[in-house]
Amino acid sequence: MKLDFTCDLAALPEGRPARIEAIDARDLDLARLEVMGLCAGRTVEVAKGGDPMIVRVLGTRIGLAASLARAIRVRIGD
Amino acid sequence: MGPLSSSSSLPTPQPTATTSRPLLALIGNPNTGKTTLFNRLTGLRAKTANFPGTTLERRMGSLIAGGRRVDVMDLPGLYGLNAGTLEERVARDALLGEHGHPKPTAAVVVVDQTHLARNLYLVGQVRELGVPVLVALNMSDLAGAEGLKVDTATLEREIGAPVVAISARTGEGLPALLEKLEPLLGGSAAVAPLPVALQGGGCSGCRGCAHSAARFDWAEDVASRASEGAPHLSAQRTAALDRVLTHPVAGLAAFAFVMAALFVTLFSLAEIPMDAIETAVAALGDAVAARLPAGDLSSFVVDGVIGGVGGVLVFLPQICLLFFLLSLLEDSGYLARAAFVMDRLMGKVGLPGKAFVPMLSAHACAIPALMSTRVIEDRRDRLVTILILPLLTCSARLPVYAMIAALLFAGQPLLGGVMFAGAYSLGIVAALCMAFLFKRTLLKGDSQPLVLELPTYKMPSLRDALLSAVDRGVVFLGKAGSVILLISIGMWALSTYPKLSDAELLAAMPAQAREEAAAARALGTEEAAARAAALEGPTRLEHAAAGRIGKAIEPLFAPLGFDWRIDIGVLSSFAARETLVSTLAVVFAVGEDEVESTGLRDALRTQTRPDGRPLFDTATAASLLVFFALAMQCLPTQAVTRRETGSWKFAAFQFFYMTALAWSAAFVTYQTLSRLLA
Repeated sequence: MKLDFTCDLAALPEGRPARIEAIDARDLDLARLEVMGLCAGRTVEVAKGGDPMIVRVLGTRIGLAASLARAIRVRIGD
Repeated sequence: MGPLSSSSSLPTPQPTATTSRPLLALIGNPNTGKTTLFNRLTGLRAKTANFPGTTLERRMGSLIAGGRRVDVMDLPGLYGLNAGTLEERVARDALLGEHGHPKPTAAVVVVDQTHLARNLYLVGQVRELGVPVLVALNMSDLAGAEGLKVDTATLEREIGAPVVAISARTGEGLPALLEKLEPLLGGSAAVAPLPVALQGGGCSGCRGCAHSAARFDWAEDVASRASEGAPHLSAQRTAALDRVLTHPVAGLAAFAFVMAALFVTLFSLAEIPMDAIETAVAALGDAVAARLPAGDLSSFVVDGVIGGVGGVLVFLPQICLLFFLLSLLEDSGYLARAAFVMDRLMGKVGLPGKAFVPMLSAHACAIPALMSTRVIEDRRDRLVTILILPLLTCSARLPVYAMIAALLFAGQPLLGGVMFAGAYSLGIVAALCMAFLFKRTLLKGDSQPLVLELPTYKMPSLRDALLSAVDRGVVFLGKAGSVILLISIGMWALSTYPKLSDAELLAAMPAQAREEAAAARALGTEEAAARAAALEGPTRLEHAAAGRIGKAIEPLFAPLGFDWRIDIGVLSSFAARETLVSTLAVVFAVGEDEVESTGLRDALRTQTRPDGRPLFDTATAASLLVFFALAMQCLPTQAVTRRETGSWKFAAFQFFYMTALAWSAAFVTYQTLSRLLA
């Protein structure tokens, strides 16, 4: 079965890589996310859910507030 | 954000004496071992100063490369140069030599090779600035242990800059680094053309633009081509530790344990050198007093200068110890987890999780705590934290609380304990309420939702921790020490001048004290002379500037139940709270050696008001306690607030809001209790 759907990062199951499609946040938060590699085009994975949650991007673990994770739209491909 | 090329039209920096030497800028992501490398390269000669016009710190040092001395500038740890934050803007200006910064001859980008893709993003940005670059591929030892292979030749080709594998921790690869650095320091090094993937950006700051994504694509592509394997071992260990340390319940328990250990160590260990400093300063004072003829000069040197220097030095142990411990915690990777687990709780008052550690250490002393607020990135969050830190119960309040406990609950240790707990709680509740209030009014702003790298756990470096402790100590002595010393001398002058002549003194003394003092002097023993001096003390102080001011402000503090004698104590403790105890001892003619015993307590208990009521009744003692819990009575703290915020404005605001809060709370306490108990 081919998986292809979008959801927000907070809803992404743990351990499932997904590609960031778009982020809808304030400019300031966008910039803070971007330098950490949380921006459109990167592959991201939830390492540990909750609030705050831990995500992995570019080989690093990032502590992330769930409110921001909900603003990040990701696409799970195959 | 405009294109980079337009920036070159800005005025060029004035050449300074040091610009004749090559200048090396050190830049890198946080947690890459950049500081360790800086310490390795520059040794103990480094100095900390602020970037011009900011409160942002920059460390400067120097090294010898190819027989030539080179200045080294450590830039803040950054993930990118997108100029969204002050650090990013300053680092970018410093790399380009704009806005008064000297232009660096070359930049060394420190890269953690176990996190290559992430680090290459910054490498790409620095390359785009056109500065000659050398990439220091750090953590060779870790990579080797993990079987991770990074091919420096491929990296050199892809980045278009020399790459040297090093381990800042072991010192491996440093000679090769200096060797490869040398050609870049001539000032005429040709910069290789920019990698094609990074061209055509022409902008460094437009958020969400395609170029940033292109830079990440480039970084991931280069990283995957240049490296083989991945740091699985440390990643697994980190994930396992995080399952516990970031767990909503277990993580909080671990946090409470670490913080308790930090606080107990800070509180108990610092006391040993603090006592030693106080003893040494007292001994020095005695020795000098014995050699100088009694009089103004002796009093100035002993009480003003030596006492003032002691008042500065006594803060050093806590400052050095706190930064030593914090450096270990940060280096190990735990500090980021502490911020992570506290983020939601602290978010309720609008502060980030990172504000917790300064708030905890403020319970030992507000000064090192203020200095440690630099970890808080958001300026408003940092200012709010700085403003509220002095409300927390520091150790200087304890002698005052102990005195009040002895007054109110002598022989009732349980009630005394409850009083102490109440005073601590009052500080915490006041700090949280004020933080909540400031975040909603004065420094309005949503709290920044957490985005924080959780670095791989590793063994912390003792050497870096020691250097960090020394560095903070030097910064404190240099920047705040001189102000504190001046203030101490000022306070000494206020409580000494104007002086009464012997005849005036005798005339002004109460009859009973005059007779007693005369009798004591007639005995001629040293002990009796000290007793006579103690009896003269209250009259001397009453007629000095401090006493006159105390009398003048009596109406201001009368609603709190204080009379002019307590007001002198309150005034003198404006510079340091614990002074209250020694000042009250002078005011009530208690000899120096009696303060430790029950002498002061007994003297305070027997004091009466003009109408015959006891001076220190329950309502007054409680009001004094509340006032000292909340008032800003520590000039060293004010000097450090000024330094950390860059202006006296915040120090002044801190003073006025805390004093107003203390006055109001003490007013309510006194008026309520005196009516209830009447």
